[in-house]
Amino acid sequence: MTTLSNSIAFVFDLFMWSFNGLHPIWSMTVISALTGVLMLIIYKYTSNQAEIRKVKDWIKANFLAIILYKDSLKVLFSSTGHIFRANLRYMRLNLVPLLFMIVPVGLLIVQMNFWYGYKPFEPGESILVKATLANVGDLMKAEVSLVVPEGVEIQTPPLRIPNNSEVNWRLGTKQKGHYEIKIHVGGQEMTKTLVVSDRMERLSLLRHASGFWDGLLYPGERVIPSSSLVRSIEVHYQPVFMGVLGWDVHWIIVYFVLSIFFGLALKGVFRVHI
Amino acid sequence: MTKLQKKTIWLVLAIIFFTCKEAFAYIGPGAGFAFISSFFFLIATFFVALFSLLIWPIRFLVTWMRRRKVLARASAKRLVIVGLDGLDPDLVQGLMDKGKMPNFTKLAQQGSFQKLGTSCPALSPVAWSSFMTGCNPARHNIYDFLSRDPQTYLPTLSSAHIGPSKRTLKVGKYAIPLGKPSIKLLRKSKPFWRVLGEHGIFSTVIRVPITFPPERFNGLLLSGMCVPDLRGSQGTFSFYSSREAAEGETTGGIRIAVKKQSNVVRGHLVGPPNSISQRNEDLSIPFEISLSGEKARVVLPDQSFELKKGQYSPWIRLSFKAGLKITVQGIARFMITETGQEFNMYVSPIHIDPGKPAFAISHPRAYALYLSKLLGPYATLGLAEDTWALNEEIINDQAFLDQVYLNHAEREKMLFDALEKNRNGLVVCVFDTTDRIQHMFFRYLNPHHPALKDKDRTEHAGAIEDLYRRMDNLIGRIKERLGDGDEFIVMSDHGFKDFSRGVNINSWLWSNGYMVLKEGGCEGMWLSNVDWSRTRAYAIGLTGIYLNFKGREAHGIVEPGQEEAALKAEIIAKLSGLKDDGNGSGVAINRVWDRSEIYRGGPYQKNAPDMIVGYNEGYRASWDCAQGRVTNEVFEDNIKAWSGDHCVDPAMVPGVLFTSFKLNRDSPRIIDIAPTALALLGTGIPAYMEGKSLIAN
Amino acid sequence: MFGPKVKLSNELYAKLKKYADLAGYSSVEEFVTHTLEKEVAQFEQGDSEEDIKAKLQGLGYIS
Repeated sequence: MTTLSNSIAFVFDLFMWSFNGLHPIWSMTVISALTGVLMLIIYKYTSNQAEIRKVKDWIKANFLAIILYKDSLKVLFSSTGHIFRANLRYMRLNLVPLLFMIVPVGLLIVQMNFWYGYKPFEPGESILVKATLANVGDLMKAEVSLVVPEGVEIQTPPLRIPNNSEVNWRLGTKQKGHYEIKIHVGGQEMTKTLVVSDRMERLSLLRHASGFWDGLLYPGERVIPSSSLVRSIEVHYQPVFMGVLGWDVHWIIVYFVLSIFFGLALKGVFRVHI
Repeated sequence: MTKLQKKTIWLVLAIIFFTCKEAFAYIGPGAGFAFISSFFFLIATFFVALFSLLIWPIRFLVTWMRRRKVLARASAKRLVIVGLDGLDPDLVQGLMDKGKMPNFTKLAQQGSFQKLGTSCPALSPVAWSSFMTGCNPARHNIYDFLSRDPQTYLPTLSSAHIGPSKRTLKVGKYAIPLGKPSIKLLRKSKPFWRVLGEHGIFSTVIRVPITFPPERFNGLLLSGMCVPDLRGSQGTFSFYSSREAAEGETTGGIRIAVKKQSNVVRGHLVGPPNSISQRNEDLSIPFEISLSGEKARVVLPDQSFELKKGQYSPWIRLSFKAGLKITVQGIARFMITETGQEFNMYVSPIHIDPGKPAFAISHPRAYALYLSKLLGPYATLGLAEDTWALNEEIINDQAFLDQVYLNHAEREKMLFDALEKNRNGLVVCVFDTTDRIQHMFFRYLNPHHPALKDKDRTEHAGAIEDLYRRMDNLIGRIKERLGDGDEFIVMSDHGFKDFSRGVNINSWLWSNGYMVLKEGGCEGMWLSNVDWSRTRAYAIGLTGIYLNFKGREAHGIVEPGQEEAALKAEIIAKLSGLKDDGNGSGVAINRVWDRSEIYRGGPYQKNAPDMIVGYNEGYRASWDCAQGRVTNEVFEDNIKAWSGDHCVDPAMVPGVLFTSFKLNRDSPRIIDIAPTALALLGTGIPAYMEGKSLIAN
Repeated sequence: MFGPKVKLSNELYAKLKKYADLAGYSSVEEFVTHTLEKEVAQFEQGDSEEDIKAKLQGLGYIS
């Protein structure tokens, strides 16, 4: 799963690189349009188009019946009932294409989250680093240290939380760059990337030991070997919002709206009944 | 998987769906499509339902205020009228006597069964106009299918005038119409459902002839007879054939030659004229058909579908691109009729798509749309059954019957939907099935019919009896849906008679010196070779004769007054009792009426033909006469499948009237139905109606 | 119903009503419309022969 996720990441990085320096809304628009088209195609071939059309026609007919027979309470109640029941049927018809769409869109969203979800650290900003360890006995006595390259400084001694097998540090950044910090535990060394930049970049929030979901959701770095005493290293980048027409909006909302817009706008071209 | 397991899976999926907010994000646009559509429907439904509910008490109060007087007088809560166009009382009686019409018999026993006096002339547009207005033609202005333009002597459709949009914008090769085409209803007076509407009574009116263009009133109406097809004609089929010399026009349709190479046929589907192009060209859609035995796959640019020889496709939606992103939408049925060495395919006239009508075919416009969402596409053409395709032997008897019954099934669904939803007012539905099948299959009731010469007389010999029994069955199913307080009328506008011989009145007028032809003699349609400066009388339509009247016709020569009266009297005397020498000197014309005898007291009397011909049973205006051709022969055999007709002396073709209630007298007339309906539903009968109520006070 | 309106004097309207009823019109509107249409008809042109033939095509009884 990690290999697949990494390959997608590679393609995605190439794609994003072509938008280097532009406002994120441009790349977002193109991704949304491409996703809209992809989803339409998946929807077309995985849904029961004839049945969807029938259900939608039935809903519309009942909707019009309420308006046409406006003096009849009987029509009002029965048609409203029909519409609600047909809506459930409609949603059920949407479940199959939905299941087919979850996988590609899920993988894509994971990638997008690293680009659009967080911003790199800026010089002078404080960083929280969290390492989760395997069973190392008494955590308070365990030998745990952090080594940082030039350009980054350690601001606090390690804060150990034995209940969570967790060790935290606060770091400070001095200048832009791609860094690798090193954690030493019981004679082992484990690294984690750290990005200080004022541009949009792909960020890896977590380096983790092998695991299906983590492999799927955090594909940015090599997997920590299972023999390691470190289970994961996490860097707390700040979430970022996208500026759209003077509003700060979470990127997923922008993506959601734009991809649906493109999907709906192009459904006639691809002759898809949604 | 058991039902419980399935339900559990759905439940779990639903819980995940609605509880996990990340799921919403992670499923992205896929879910978005579904949710957005779904929420749109739900929210729109919620608001419309809420709004309807909130204003319902106000509407109820207003309607009640308007209806309270009529409610007190009404003897029916709902009136259902089913029109079976052309159902003949003698045929019904014959089958009732044999015990083959149990539902009609029951209805007659419960209420009444009588012959219904029809209009003069006994033509559907005239009779149904009289039905809905309660008036004679002098008050509703419909005297025939055709009227004529006295300036050009050309025939015109009597019921509606469809003109192009008044203004156009010319851009390059296009002339874009600004505004809608002008469509004007030429039927005058007021249908009784408008009177009901004025008293707050709601009506659903389905496919009553001469309701196009639809008029505004308190109710729903789907237009019937005379709604044009997408070409603006009354129905033009197209026929695609690989045979040589197939190209050209045929009566009622267009023949198009196609190339068949091995098992693939390619061609262009002919559509309506391009109304925005300044060049005179038809729109078309390319098609490719792959044949495999008796099966075929038809591929159009945006869709493909399977066909089996001898079977109709469902309605296929066709989009013709006119340019400038303008598309014209229609629906048609396809049928492959030959797949061996040669290839033949029939495509029905392209009906206006009720889902996207080019102009209003219903009131309100949404009613046609509602029906199309409810039932799928349905026939909208006024004369939807393609009689000319059978006349021209493009399709066979069975294919024609299949087509008619497909249309009939749609109509039944419309009626049953109206019966379910409109429980408190008027429901009227007219079925054309009875008229069309009798027109085309009456030959089987007459073993000597010229159209059956050298043809199989047995296969469809029972078509008409089968038709009547189906109608009886329909009546039974309708009755099951009626309740207390419902009254029921089953009626026809006229009966039916054999049509074996045609009479060409224009040929008779010519041979008797009332009409003079220019040099060249008998050539051309629509009286194109008539010398109007020397002609005194001419016939246009199926029963009308006009005088070439000075001051009225463009080149009129007949002086009003004495000359007019003498000429009329002369023609009437000569034509009444006219004998057919070619048919054992049988009487071809029973009588001819002066219009002043039959049309009195109406403002449109002057639009009537000057004389009306009442043919004898077995006769009708010949095909040549109907098309305005002057021929050497006055009489001719009718060898077309169209072998039954009713354009005869109205006394010979009364309709039927079955009612669920007792009538107050005998000899009801078609103009009595409207006042009867008003009386049953409790409104007064307006002064302009000439009919009288048939219910006892 | 929502088309342009023309103002008439009450006196004329009363007369129109009376004669509309006598003549067999279903309403004053119908009477007025018919009267005016007759006047206008003399200035209007009819359809071309081609148009007429096209419109009548397929009318079962005729062609």
